[in-house]
Amino acid sequence: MDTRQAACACTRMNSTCMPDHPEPEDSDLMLRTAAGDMAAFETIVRRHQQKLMNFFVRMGVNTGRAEELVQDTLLRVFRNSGRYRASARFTTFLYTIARNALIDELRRNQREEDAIAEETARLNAGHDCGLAGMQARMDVRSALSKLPPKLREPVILSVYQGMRYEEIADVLKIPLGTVKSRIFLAMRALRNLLDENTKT
Amino acid sequence: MKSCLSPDAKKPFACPRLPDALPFAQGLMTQTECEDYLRHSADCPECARAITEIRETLRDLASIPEEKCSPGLTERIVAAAEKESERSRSVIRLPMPAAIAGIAAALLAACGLWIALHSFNAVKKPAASHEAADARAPQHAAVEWLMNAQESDGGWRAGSGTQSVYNAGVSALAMLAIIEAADESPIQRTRETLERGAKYLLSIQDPEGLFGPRCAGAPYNQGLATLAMLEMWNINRTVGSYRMACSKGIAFLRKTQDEQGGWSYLGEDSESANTSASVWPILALLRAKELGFDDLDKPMRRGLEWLRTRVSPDGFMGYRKVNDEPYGPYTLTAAGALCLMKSPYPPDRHAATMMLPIVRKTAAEPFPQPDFYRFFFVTEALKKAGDPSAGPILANLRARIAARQKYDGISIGTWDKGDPWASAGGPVYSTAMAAMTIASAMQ
Repeated sequence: MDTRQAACACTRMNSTCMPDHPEPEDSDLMLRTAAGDMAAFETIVRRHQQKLMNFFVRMGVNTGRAEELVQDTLLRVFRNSGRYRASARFTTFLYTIARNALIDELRRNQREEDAIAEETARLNAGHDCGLAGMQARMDVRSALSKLPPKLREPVILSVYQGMRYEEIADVLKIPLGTVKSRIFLAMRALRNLLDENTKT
Repeated sequence: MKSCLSPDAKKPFACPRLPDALPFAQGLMTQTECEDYLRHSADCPECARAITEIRETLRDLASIPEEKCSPGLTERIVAAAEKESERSRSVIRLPMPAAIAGIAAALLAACGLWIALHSFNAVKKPAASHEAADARAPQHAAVEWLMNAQESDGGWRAGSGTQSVYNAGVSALAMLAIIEAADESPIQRTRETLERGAKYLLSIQDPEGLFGPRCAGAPYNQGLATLAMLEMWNINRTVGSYRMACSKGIAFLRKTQDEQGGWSYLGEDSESANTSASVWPILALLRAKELGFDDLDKPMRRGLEWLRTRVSPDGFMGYRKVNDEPYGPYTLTAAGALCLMKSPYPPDRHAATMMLPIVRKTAAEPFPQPDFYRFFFVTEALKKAGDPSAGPILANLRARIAARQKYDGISIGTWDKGDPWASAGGPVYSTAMAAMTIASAMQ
């Protein structure tokens, strides 16, 4: 039985015979990936691709390109699986790589504002449901996009990716206190932007 | 009414506990903290308003719907990884025909020159907005320069004249620096660069296993080249010639280890064994053992014991014996501490802990001239020690090194002046060492 079959068998067992069997930790999956276990890598991909997609989109990348960045990030994870140390949190490792992929992307191809404008135009192209709700969401998205990256990144990592402040500090390589103050400042700025929008 | 979260509110932080509204609203406080802050906010209208407003903002943020990945993305990613894994094995296994290799080398050399001449603006002074990218920019620039500096035979040059005896050592250093940064460089180009580097090292290894010429400084060449080949073998364990080169390199190190366990400059008597010549061979043996090479316990133990018995009671590493410090103790203390910390034997690790305060102090001291050799060992030793107080020291050291990198001209990405050992290893040595130090200080 190859590793992939073994993993499938294990999953079936978990869902039927052993419901309380814990899901494998990311760190275990990474060690198995480093040893060439593609089924383990597949589990990592399934577990994190959606969150990564949202991270890139909320950082202002258009949806098509965001999916390419998801692929790029996870392939970088695969290539560097041998360097991962189980003592480090996997999400710190993952989002450090994702952030580097994003920075490369922004440097190479486009300004962030272009991506936001493109996305806004796509939304403006018209859909037949919930226009008011969509307008509100767009306003929130637009407000988010107006934040400087220094404030936007910690907010996205905290609010959408569910990362702890300590972990965000590790990914952004800034002190813990700076993480807290940036998120707080971001909240102030967002509230202001959203309130202004409501008035107009 | 003005929001109390508004940036232009007159007294946004009138209450010192206002920032606590954030973790409270996000549900990140412990039960006790929560209850305490709740009691406080009952009497503090400013905090109460902040909580409400942050909660409203969080609700607004939650209204952005999730973007769904397209069907089949998982399968595409896994397939791409499998393909890449396959390609990696085949690219590194297949020898390039000589004629194609020659043409490729000429093209690469031409491209390298073109890139060097046209990349003045490729690396900018760090921009303020992306701190992590800023931190990595010097390493990227250094690796880019190193890749362009590779010669057509796959090696790197220490310099002309007598410096050329260190070509094996600086080639290995360049490879180690590129391997260290491999996740940040275009993978295909990196792989090809490393394969050509390995091919060069294989071409200069003699039947006894020595990399490069029989010269006094051979222990440096040998230790470094063996380390680089070990890393290449670790990257792709299907290449038999890499493993063979490692085994032969290790055999030569064992053959030249003296009776007490140290290494001396090649051709000198065993009384001349010194720490400087012994460090790289010991690191190579430690790494080989880690990667599963057999029968290394005895030479490794002897080497480490030799090193440990050169440490003074106050933690300084001697050159040939305790308190022998003709070139100053600091670099050797850091190098020795690194080796001893990697040791599997408790007495060695105990000796290393005595050396750590000196290493920490060395890292924090201002330097009029850079010494990348010292910086590298200091950084690696502090990192290996896992010393939490070392973080700010290393960040500061990294910033000071980065500040000395060349940001324009054809030498963009290099550190080519001022290091005391650059006269032996040239800019390839200093650039590779600085890049590895920066990478190490970031981890």
